[in-house]
Amino acid sequence: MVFKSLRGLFSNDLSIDLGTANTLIYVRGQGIVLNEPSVVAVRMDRGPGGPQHVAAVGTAAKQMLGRTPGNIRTVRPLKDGVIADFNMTEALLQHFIRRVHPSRFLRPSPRVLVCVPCSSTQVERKAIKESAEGAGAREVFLVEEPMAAAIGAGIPVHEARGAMVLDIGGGTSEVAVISLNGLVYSNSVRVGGDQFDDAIINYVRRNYGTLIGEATAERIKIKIGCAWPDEEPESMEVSGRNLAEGVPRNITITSNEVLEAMNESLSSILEAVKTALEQTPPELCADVAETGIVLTGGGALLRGIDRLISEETGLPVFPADDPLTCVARGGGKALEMMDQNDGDFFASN
Amino acid sequence: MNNQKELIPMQPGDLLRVRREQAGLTLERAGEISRIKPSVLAAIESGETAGIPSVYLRGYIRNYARALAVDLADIEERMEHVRGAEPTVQSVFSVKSTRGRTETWLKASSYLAASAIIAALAWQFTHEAVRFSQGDSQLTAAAVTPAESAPAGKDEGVVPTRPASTHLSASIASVEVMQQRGERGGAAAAEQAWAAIDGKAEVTGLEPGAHQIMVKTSADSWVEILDGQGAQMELDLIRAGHERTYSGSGPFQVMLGRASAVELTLDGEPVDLAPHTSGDVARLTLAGESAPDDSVTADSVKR
Repeated sequence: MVFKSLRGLFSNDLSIDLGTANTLIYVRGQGIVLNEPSVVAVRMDRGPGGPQHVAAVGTAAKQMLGRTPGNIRTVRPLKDGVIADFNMTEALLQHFIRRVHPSRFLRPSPRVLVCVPCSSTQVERKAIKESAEGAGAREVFLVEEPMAAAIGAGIPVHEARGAMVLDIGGGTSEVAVISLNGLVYSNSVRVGGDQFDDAIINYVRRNYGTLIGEATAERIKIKIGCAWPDEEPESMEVSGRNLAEGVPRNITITSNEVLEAMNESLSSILEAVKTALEQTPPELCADVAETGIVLTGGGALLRGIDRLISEETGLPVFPADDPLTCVARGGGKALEMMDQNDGDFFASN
Repeated sequence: MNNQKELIPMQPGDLLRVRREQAGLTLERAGEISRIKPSVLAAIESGETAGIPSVYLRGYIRNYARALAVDLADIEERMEHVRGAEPTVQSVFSVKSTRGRTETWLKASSYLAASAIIAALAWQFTHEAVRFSQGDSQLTAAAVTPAESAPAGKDEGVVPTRPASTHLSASIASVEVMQQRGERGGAAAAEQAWAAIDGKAEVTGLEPGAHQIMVKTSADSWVEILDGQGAQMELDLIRAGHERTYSGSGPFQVMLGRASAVELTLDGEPVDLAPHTSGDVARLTLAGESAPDDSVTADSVKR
């Protein structure tokens, strides 16, 4: 214990955005130093059930996703923003924490701030906390994702003035109204980038009788995905396995088809935003109507999503600058203010 | 007109105002279309945007541009001229003090402490090496370091400085003796002590009434010597092969724990211990009080 705190003097404080899709690490005083997919590749040398070794983590592991031989398994240890595989999450964190500490002389023992979905349960938060501790953290602080996203986006969260932020992540979308450094209202729906991908896979299977992989679906979403109908639809050619013939076939999919595929997921996000506006106290609701809604997270990069929400709610909606890193940057800012703020931003666990 | 426009880069606000006026829209109507408050639009057009947080400001400008069908790429180019309020993170309530500073301080001091320890160890190591190379026996007499002898000379304010070759496990008792003597005799006593340390002490150099006792051991022996005033000059286990010299005024009460292994001399003359020994422990009195010269001393030795 004594040694842990001594080692801590030589470790940097970290803020980790442990996302379903990507993990970002912000090092105090250095900025974002790591942005990698939350994927772990496990090697099982003696077949299933035998001892497992971590073969690759992050980008290297993501390249293996869906392309592995029998003895390698790729795992996404987080699902819907929370831990689905405890040991793998610990391995992932351990790997990333080591990577951001170049010193091999002392094992790092940093203070770590982890962002958690606001609707995660006590058990889920404890699991995240424990896996961070298992990965070598000296002290673990939790901060709710929308709070971190708002700070990272540059919203003046300390003002007595309502501000709404919508963070569309890989596994969850979080909507929150923030005032005086705290969450007045927060809600999270388990819809995010992964659900968009699934929706595209299902749509292509249903309408083209062709099976495409997750990686392909993600590529379609990033390239031609949109949330508001395009006047000049774009199209993209992808290949998948034709279900009837069992052989690879090329298909061409347009952006309006992608919109149709994602319609259901998008409407559940919209529903969450509308509910948030209904539930917000009137004073803050008036503030939100003036200032508008800030979009963060990877979902904010989806073309036309601001337009869709703006049309549906009648409020100004706009994405933050560099929305993918908002949560990690916000966590970092909270970390830098931690010693002064007495944990204003931290979530109870 | 066209040239002027190219020379002076247009602010996004100016561009937007021009486009709005071209479209024949009032601020209110533009606000309805873009869903942004007209007062905010007026601020953007006039460039008085310092009060609007930059995340909102950029969003407003983009949305307004889209509502007026202005080319977004054109706006993005001019966006760097836009200055909004810089984002700040502040505490709402109490501000806790200096944990961060304490941590930096701790870090710095632990570095310092570590380097101090390493330096001390290195110094000690080299010092020990020198001591062993010089031979242990020369140094046993030197029981006092210059720092320790400093208080002895305090009365007179004159402290002779000598190269000190210190025995690290020097007897504390002998240091006390030096100090006591220092209280009485000031710098003279300090000088005497130094003389003893250097092994150059001569009987002639001593003050009247003072004597010099030398103890030489061939095996470990307990040695206790009290001087005429009853002050302790030595109270220590002297290891085999060591030689110590004491000087002071008699009579001395001497107790030797292992008389068979000790050679005792008084002012350079050996003292026969056999008459005073019982069970290998010698108890004797040396250099009686009224014995200023050697002959009387010898008498008392014989007695």
